[in-house]
Amino acid sequence: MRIISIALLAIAIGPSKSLGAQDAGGGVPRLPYEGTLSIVGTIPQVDVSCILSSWRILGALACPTPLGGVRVCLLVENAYPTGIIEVVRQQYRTHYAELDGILKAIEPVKLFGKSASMTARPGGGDSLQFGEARVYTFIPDLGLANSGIPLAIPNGSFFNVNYLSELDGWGWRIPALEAFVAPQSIVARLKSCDRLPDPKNCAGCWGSYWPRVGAVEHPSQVIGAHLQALRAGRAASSPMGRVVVSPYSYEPRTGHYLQMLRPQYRTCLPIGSRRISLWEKGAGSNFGAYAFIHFGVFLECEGCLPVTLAPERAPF
Amino acid sequence: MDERDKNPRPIQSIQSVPRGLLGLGAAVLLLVLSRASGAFGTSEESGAPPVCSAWHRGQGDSHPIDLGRMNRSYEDLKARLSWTLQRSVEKEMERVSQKNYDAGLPACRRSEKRSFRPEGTMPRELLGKTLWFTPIEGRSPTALPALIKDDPGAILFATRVEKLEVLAEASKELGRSVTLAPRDLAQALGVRCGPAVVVISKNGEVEIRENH
Repeated sequence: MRIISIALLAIAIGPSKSLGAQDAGGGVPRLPYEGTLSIVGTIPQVDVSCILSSWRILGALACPTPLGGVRVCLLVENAYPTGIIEVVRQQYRTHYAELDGILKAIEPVKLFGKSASMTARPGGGDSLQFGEARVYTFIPDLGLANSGIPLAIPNGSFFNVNYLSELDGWGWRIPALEAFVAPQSIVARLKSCDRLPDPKNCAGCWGSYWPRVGAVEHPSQVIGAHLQALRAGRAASSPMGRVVVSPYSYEPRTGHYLQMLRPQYRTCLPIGSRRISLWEKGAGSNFGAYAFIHFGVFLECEGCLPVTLAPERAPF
Repeated sequence: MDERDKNPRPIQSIQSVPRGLLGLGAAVLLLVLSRASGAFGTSEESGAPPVCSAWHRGQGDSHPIDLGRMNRSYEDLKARLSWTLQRSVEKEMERVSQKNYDAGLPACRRSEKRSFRPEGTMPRELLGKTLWFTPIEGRSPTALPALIKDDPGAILFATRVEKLEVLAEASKELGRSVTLAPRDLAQALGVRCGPAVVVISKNGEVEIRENH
């Protein structure tokens, strides 16, 4: 009886492991969100209704043909998925199983400055949150090209890695560094997004695209994560002294779309929309881990105007 | 009152029977005809379509189809497409790990030392720090200069690497963290070539030692 009691006590005080966590092999427990998404598996999760509901005819265009004739085409506009952006609080951790190898390969590089352990303190009395961010080009073939509807579909590779904030450790952590290296960014940073948000520099009521760093002060973790994702997308599309793997060709713009994949699946939402207050309910993450699909809005008039990223617009 | 006046209902019923039979017959005939012409419903509703191998005028040749085989073909196509996409993702991962980086700082041809105060506000995170901008060639990193060796708080920036994996290897071998140099940082500090050691004083003065 005594032996059994000792055995039970040993089990009770022994090293415990949370149910959700598994050992990654190197003694580091895996977090529940790690490896829960795959690039190919993201294709069926794309909100196709976002493409179809944003499709509209803007008018007709006429342009001369090389043979001396005139070509008339329909100028259309629609959203289309162009990227995946993930924001995670933990360095070198990812939702995507495929990315795990690359992040582990660069893990010995210790990062300077802020880390998530310094921010997002529960009951800390501040609304500062910090997250690492990654931007990948993602242009899936959804079978809509031959649908009979003239859709603006960007040409690009299915998948590319564009930005890993761990490789841009300094730029992603020090706001003053960007101003020092690229003084042209200072003007944009001076504009306030409080009263009349300028669609060029502000993601509507969500906040400013500047400074393009991982630290965001926002009372809502969910909106803050959206903003971090947009800032990473902007840094990747217009590096200005930042370390990028390859530039992301589709700048996230106000009025274009973001769709949350993790921690909760949501339909797409225009960037800067006030409706985010409905989307954020129940979408908070215990690990500050978020994954989004970015939809660019494109214009095309077949034969006259190639597929072009549409300018920013007021969100609805 | 005669017999007919006493029981009018049965007489009416007997008279309506031939009309009812006629209507029922017409309905059955209509159903048969419509089935034959395919006006109502399709043969799909009643089960698998009959295999047709006949030639139809104006519609080209017809071929018998096997729905089970078609289903298997679609499954196979789906698997192959998934495999192709997965393979393209794997190739991209290989490409990224083998990718090089170049911050655009040319190699030094001679040694030079100078001091000045750069334009713009120096980030406070850099004040009082010593920075080393160096290319990392091959797998073995360059030996640390004395100024960097003596300062454990010195920041090591790789201005050029052959592949990203080298960064982690260099960090391990040097026992210091080596990060990629932000593009244009060296130039903004006034560095013209690498390797270079930059000593930033607490009041923002910069001393640059190129190729030392």
